[in-house]
Amino acid sequence: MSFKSFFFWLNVLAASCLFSGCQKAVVQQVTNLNGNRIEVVGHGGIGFQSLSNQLPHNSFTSIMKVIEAYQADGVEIDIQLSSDGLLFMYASERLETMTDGSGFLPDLPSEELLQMRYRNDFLINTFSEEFLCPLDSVLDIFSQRNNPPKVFLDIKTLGRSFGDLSYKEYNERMTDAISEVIDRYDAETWIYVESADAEFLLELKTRHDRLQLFFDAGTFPEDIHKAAQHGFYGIICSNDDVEAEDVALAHSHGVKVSIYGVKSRSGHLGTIAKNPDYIQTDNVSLLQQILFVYN
Amino acid sequence: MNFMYLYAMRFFVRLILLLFLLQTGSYLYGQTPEEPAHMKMAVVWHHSVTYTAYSSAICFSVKHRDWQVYAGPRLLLNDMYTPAAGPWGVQLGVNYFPLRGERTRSFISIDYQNVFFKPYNPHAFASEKNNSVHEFNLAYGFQRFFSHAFGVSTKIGFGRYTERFHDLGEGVVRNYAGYSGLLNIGFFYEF
Repeated sequence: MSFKSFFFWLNVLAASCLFSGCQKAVVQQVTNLNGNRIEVVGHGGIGFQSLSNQLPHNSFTSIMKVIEAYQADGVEIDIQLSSDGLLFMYASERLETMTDGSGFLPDLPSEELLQMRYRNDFLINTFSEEFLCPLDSVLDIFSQRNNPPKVFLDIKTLGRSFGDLSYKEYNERMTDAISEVIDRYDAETWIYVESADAEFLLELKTRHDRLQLFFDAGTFPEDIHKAAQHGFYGIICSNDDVEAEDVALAHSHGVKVSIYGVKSRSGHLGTIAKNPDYIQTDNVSLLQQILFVYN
Repeated sequence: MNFMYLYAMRFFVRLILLLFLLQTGSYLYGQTPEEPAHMKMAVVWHHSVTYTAYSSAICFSVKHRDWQVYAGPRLLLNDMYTPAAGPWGVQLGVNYFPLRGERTRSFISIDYQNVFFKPYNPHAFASEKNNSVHEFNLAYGFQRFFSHAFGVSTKIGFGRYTERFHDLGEGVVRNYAGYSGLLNIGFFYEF
């Protein structure tokens, strides 16, 4: 093979690789309860950990970067309560799923949890520098910003271990802890709380009537009616579960919709077409680009 | 999907180990020909996985005896870095070849890659400013010739990254740093 023909085929291969993923962004006019603007929310920071995003979700750096570096409108953070009542940012049920610790987070005291380091299964980031962090570490910084970002607290309670506490006792302590955080940071306008437990949300509502509460919805249209009946601010749902008609129904009841479980370009385009008010994305930069090009 | 990446990484590590065995074999048989004294030019099409994920670079290299330097433009293929605004950068580095076989050579590499892209705010991309990521890695790898001129190189390494982002909401610059890594495969044509 001559050098010229080798280079020709090299270029053909490169061009086919580069353009195979291209898809024209066709986005219709968004209609929602948010001034017809979809807000970009980072899912657990800049998104769930993968080879293209090696920071662990809910880690300090991932959460700070999505606001400071990527300029997202908000960030979703998964929350669990330690045995001594400190709110930690962590999503999985068991600690060994993502850290070098083991067991259940609610079983352990904060002193022990603060020593736990995130693992990384993606070889490249072998030496992880991220540790389990309390919620306060990011709220301290966010509350100092000129415009604090929207912080969606996803309360992890259902179907988990609660140490020596019953589910009800754990929920009461969680309600107290969330309530204390909101008071301390004067954050009723920029902290949003998500839960699949309507009773828990209603208890928070009695303490903070201006707090924006999102009901974690799984069945439609029943959960939309439930959210409207309880006067919740919105519902949060997986992109796979919700259709455009469900979003329209929620909007007709004055209930906002936040959708998660989106990462690809085609996934974002499909989600935008459903007219949600917020998208909790695993690729903040890509969603910003699609919405910017559209606008 | 994450498992797919994990298996791809494991496959890559096994490939490196296989090449290591090939290199060791050729070295044990005493095939260590002298390098010609004149300089050799080459074109290398690099594919890298680093902290910023997948990137591709076309580099030009010059080799003299046991040393090789390379440099060229780099395109980051990870859409988490605003594809509308690039992101372009540079890949450059130095290879040193302590061991040579007839067709296989091992080398130690110092690799530097960067990428630049436009910062974003909710209303626009800020065209007058640039965010950047810089990655430095020390790597070990192999070159394997399939003909007198065409071959493949592969290397694995670890290092550091630094990132510089404009926080447009606050009007300040944010810096982040951490451990990085490098998996690289390159196709070269030496002439």
